[in-house]
Amino acid sequence: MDFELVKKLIISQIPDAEVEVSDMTGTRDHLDLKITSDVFKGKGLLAQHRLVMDILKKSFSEDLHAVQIKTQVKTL
Amino acid sequence: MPFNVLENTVGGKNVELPAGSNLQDQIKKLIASSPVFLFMKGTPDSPMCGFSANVVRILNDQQVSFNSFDILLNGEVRQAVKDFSNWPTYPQLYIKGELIGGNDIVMEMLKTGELKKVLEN
Repeated sequence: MDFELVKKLIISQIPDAEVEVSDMTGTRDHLDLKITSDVFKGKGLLAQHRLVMDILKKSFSEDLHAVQIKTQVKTL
Repeated sequence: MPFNVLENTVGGKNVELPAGSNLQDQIKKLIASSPVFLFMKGTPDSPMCGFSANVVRILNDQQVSFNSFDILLNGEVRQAVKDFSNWPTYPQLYIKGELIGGNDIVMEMLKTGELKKVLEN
């Protein structure tokens, strides 16, 4: 799974997102994602993650097995 | 218990797919088979993925009994549950019929105390 592609994919849908991607297992199919954006403001945890999952869903069928997501709002 | 219980474990009980009119109906019956339900890779006794194992450990630590289904044994259910919940990965934890999320959300809720609250009321 190409990390740059994941970053571009997310930023294309969440323009103000700061995205950190890291490989959890070295096999490039267990991703650790940290996303900072105001789009998460006021949303419940599941809704925040679902927003990200819907963006990544297209790439899940082939080569992404698991992703760990940490969402946060921009601190002022 | 209407289901054939394969393993007798402390908290988690691996259950088989119940009978039903269609896959959607069977999935709903699975989720309703216990207040806490986990679609996972493997079984509570032998999880086959780190994330699934972690959620099982958290549920056991919370001394919560739950039913689980091993999606590695049934590719049809594996895909159907993703469509049902509109959630593309496993494990998937349900509490009182509602999707809570995967390992990262369960960990976050454990930290904030939200998990205990949802499990208790």
